[in-house]
Amino acid sequence: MMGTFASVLATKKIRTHTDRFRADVEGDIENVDGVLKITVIRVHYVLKLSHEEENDAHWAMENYIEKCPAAMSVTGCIRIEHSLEFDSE
Amino acid sequence: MAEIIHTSRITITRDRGPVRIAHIEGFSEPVFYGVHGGIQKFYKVDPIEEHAATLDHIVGAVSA
Repeated sequence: MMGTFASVLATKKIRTHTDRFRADVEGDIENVDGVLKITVIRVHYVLKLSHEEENDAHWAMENYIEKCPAAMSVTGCIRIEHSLEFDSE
Repeated sequence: MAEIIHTSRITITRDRGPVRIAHIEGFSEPVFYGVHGGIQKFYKVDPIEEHAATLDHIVGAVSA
């Protein structure tokens, strides 16, 4: 997800290298009828950018996930939640 | 509601190009994700170094 999000952000000239961008991820593994199963993955992005770039970042957030091969491979089996936090420059 | 047995916690950052570095809670060695092979050709990228793709990791993890 992060790599695809970065590539979509790049179309808006938003930089995401090294310390500008990270994803804090949690994945819950639950006991479902005696079998351990990944039920939800929560991806919280922290992105450093200027106030002027915020609208473009929101647009990218709304338009990247359908392009993500990993997310699309597990959608329907694992619930995916994502959120975006801005770290102002 | 099912019982949560474990929560996996991972921090991911980006390096150059398509390379991403994952730090999994409880382990000191990072895991690298990148592109290679058919995935590299599909995306038409030329990374400085090749790494297994996220999809390779999914395939391996499901199969392991």
